[in-house]
Amino acid sequence: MKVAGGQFYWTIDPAVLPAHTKIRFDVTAVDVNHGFGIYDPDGRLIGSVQAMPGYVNDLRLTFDKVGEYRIRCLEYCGLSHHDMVASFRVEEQA
Amino acid sequence: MEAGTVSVVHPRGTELLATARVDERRIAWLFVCTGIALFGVMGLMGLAMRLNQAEVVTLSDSWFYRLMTLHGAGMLVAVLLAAMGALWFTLRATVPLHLGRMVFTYLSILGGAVLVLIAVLIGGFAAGWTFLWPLPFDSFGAWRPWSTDVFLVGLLLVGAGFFVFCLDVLMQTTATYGGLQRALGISYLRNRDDSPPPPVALAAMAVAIEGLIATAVGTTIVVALIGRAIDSGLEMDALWAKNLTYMFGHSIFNLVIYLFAGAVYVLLPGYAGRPWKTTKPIVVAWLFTIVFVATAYGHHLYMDFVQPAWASGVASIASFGAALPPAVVTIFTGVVLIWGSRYRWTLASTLLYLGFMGWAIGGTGAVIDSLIPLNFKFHNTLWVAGHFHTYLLMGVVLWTFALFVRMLEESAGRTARDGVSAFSLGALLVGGYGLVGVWYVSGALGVPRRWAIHPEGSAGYSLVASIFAIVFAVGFLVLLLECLRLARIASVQRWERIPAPRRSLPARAAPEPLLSTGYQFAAVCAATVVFVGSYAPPITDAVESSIRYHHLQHAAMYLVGLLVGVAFASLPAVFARIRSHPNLGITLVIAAPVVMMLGMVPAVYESLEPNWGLHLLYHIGMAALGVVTGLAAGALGLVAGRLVFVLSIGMALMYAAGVTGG
Ligand code: HEM
Ligand SMILES: [Cu+2]
Repeated sequence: MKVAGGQFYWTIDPAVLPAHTKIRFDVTAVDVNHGFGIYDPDGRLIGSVQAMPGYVNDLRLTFDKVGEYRIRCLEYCGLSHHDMVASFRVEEQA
Repeated sequence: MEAGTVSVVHPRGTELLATARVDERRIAWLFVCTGIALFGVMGLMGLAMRLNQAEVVTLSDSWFYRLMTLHGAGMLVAVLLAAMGALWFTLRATVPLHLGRMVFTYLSILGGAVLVLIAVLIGGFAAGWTFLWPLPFDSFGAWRPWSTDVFLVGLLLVGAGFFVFCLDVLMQTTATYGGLQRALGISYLRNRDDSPPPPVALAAMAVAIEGLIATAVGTTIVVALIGRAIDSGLEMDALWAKNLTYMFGHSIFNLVIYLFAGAVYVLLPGYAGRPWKTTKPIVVAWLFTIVFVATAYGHHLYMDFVQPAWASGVASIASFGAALPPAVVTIFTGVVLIWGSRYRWTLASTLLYLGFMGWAIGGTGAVIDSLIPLNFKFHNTLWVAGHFHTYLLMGVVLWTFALFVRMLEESAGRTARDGVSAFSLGALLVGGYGLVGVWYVSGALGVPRRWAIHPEGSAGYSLVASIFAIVFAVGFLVLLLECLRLARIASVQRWERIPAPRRSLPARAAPEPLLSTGYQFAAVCAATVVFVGSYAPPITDAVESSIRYHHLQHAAMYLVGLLVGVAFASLPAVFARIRSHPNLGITLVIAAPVVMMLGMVPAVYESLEPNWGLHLLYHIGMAALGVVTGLAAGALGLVAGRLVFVLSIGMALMYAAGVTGG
């Protein structure tokens, strides 16, 4: 899954992921530093990785819970830092 | 008067109490009072931020993040000033620190603070006090470009003030105890010295060495950013910038704790009636700090352009190695000192004791945070705010209050009233631990730090925390009022009548040149030849194609000059002349590397490049700056001079490795 952070949005591709499968997130930033924090459907922080301009950091996670996962920015990136949220879904594979 | 003084400490404490001369008291007053005033104002900003997160008041996003930037930078200046004042007050009983340099430190830091204020309040600067590249230059139109420049210059002034302080502590302490090995207690460890320096001097040495390294790293990144302000084509590596920034930011707050730990070694015995003697564990603990910090930085000097996995392992071991030993040894020996001593409990001495508690609890929080698997969950959540506020607010700030009250109790010849003290302490404890406790809890639940508006459903935590902050503020206010009462009594009794120590300041050893043996001169000559080798044709070809090599070649020119300068400064005839100008030396070892790095801004040299003669002159200029640095380092004497020499090499190489563009 490819992730890029920018002031003040996330681009995530694809937006739906299979459950019980190891997922690799390739995370980068297009302008300033951001922080890619993943919250599970119960609102718990389950992992984070830095999104840095000029670098691709990877994070590997397996999701066992299906549902809506939220992304919050965890590195201060400007005045709308706290609005920099997004989400993706995890679904059982058919 | 004598009787009055005895009553505020332990019956056997007067001899042990660092009874200070008027100069020490004046400096301590100036630094501690400025620190407390700043703390008060910045604390109100903290409360405003918390109330905004609680959705009780509404700040615009711009104001929230401006306050956050100012609060971080302002609190740093507040506790740094207080801690330097405390160390000066306690160390100067045994080491002849330089009054004029301390005044310079104060003015430079205050000037820097004013610039930061202007940048934030007028220019709207809100990139956070950590100024992480490239955010200061990429505000999305939120702040004026000039505000970034003003902020950076302000930081540079704060850094210069601290650098001078550290240099003075290092120079005077090594001179007083007869060289580096004795001043660090190494001779004592090897049983070659049976009157080791007191613990305060050991802490001071560690702070001075680590402080010089941290400030050199901080200066490099700040000057690189200033370079970007001059030349918008300048680029730097984001990972490099982040490492330098955090290295500096993390250490400077750590050093504040160590400065105070040094002061506490002197202040506590007055209440316990027992001396705090230097023992081998104390020496070893502080040596650990120096060695670990130096290795941690060492790997940052030739840092690669990708952070290898082992680097974070090394970093976490190094941060344990640097932070744990002094905390464990100091807290343990401090508790032993108090245990069974019939400790004299006054407002001041209770605050000293509580400060230990804050250090211990906050330290534990930090350890938990830096265990890598957990860090996954806590990184950049409010847990982080929880642990650093614990040791800063409930450690360093309580110690600051302790020193303030201690000076007033001494001047007034009586202690603060028991009932009032108990009320104030109760409010500080409940309010303070409540405030940080909420951060730990909400951090563990994943609430992010540095968010103006918290995720839905978590505003309640901020409300509870705001109430605790107000309780803390009430305790602080009561404490100030009681201090005012003591100050009224004191002004009648006059300061000057407090007995000053009969001892006069010790004589210092004469400075020594940087190089003294033939081998050392030979090594310097060999290194010079190696750097001149950077003009060899294959390297010059590489320079054409890569800006990094180009910068390395400029750095090599500076290093050649540096080596020549150091060799020159060590010649007996030259050394005899420069050794009497240490203040000029200090000025130039700060100014020359800064000018050197500004000279490496692409816009500066690119304009000269087309002209063959000017280009040659530029390279000669770089070498000349090196010669100046080397000569100036020579004027600082053996220990400080050599450290500054190494740091200038580090700055040139670090800068060349990280800055590109053009
Ligand atoms: C008087 C009580 C204090 C209050 C109410 C307070 C409040 C706050 C608040 C609300 C934040 C923002 C936390 C977040 O949401 O990320 C903060 C951050 C911070 N505080 Fe305090 N604080 C206090 C004392 C201190 C002290 C004594 C220091 C240092 C000596 C300090 C240093 C900092 C720093 C460095 C930050 C980080 C700023 C940043 O993230 O850029 N604070 N404080
Ligand atoms: Cu962000």
